[in-house]
Amino acid sequence: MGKWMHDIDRRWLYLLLFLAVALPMLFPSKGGSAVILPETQSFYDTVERVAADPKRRDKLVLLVANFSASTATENLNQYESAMRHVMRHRLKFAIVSFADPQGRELGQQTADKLASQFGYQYGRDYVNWGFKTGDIALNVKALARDIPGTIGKDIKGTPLGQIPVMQGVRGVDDIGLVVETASADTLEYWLAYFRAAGDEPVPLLFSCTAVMAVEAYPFLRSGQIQGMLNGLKGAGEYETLLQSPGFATQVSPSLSWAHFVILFLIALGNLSLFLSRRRAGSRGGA
Amino acid sequence: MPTERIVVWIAAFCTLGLYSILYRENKVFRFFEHLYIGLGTGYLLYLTWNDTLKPRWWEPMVQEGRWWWACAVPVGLMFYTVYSRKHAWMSRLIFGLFFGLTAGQAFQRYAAVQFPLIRSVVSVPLVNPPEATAPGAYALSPYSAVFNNVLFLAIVVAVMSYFFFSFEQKNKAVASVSKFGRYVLMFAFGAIFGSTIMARLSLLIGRIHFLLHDWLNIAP
Repeated sequence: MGKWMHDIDRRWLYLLLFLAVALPMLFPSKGGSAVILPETQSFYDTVERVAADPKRRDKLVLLVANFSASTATENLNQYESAMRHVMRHRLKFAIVSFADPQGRELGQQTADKLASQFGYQYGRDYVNWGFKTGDIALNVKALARDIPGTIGKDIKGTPLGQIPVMQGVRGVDDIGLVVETASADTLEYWLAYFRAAGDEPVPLLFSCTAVMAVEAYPFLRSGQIQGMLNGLKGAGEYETLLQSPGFATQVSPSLSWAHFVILFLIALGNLSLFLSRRRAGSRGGA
Repeated sequence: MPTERIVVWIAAFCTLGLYSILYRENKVFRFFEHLYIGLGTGYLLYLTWNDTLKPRWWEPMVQEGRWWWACAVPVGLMFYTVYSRKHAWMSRLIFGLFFGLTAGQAFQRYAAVQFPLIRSVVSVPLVNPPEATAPGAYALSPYSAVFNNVLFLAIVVAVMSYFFFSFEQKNKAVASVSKFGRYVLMFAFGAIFGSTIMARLSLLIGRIHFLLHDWLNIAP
């Protein structure tokens, strides 16, 4: 039996995984309610706190889109929910990308999708600073001191000083909240050069791919970040908190079933190894 | 066929072409792989020019009379002298400058990022329960939070003892603590592996949803 399990063609496993993902999509069930993890709850609460704080709510929110289409399933859904939350409270915001050129476009597509729903207008309520190439550390450090000087012009080629939403925005003290959505290791730049560069620490939220989440948990514990969305699961929890179920909620059963299949395969692999070792041991004994 | 549907069909073929590697290595996969890399590089070049070089360098130099920005060209070209044996010394100058700059920033970043982390480790309340809203309390009940902190500190000490190689760990107590450190490290690696699986599955889910919902229209 152990040998048979050992020799399974990997393509059967791919097919099994495909079915585990596809069947819950084809035959959706109601499913249970999502368990909200504390980091997702504090992510949500921080946006609420900023919106309720008279000192912060008139400042600009930075929605940093450091991701590309390859991780859109995780990051784009997180980003869309964060933007929806910000728009719900009518906070002004800026889209910017430092790590990936596609971020500026994905951020703009998200804004285009939601703007009409919330009555947002480009230039008056939000702005897209575009993709800034070069050393991220230098960019973020310069941003804390001089935003118009670092960014220069928005994606339409308009100098920042001529854009209504940018009036009075000079540096880190004019930023009310930073939400970084990332598939790259860029959190440390915001922690080191931006968050504590002003008169008061700027609240920093982090939504990342699940691969990166484990390494970001210590920053949550130390209070350096105020909340975190962990991959697609975090996006689903956030949608639940916003009472706005979307893609992440819809595909949650697929994620659960795929995890179940992986666990089953790990157990099968270990059983196969155990049986083959026992067989080898009994042969050796004979 | 409307343009949107054509885009969806092209995207579906790209997806299937790239996933064909799961069956076996083939030319269709190689074609789409090169197509994707080429598109990505071209897009990066365009945006580097459009969003950064044009507004921040070219226009100030050409339209606003800041001619001194032209000095950036020979400085930038110094990187490429690495390909010439005779002039490679020039590339060392510019590479050295950037190494120094990056190393200095790395020191600053390390202190700014890691010191608060270390402070949070050594200042966890072990007797008085923290408030549920305090960082690191994780909204746990007060005594669970204290237990959590004690466990956390024990794990920190155990893991550090595992990486202490200055003398042989002959003492039974030290060896046991070190062994415990190794086990909790394995837990951490397991968590990272689990998270990686979740991330990769999320990507698969996104593509399958695209194929079933956007392309074939058979999933709600």
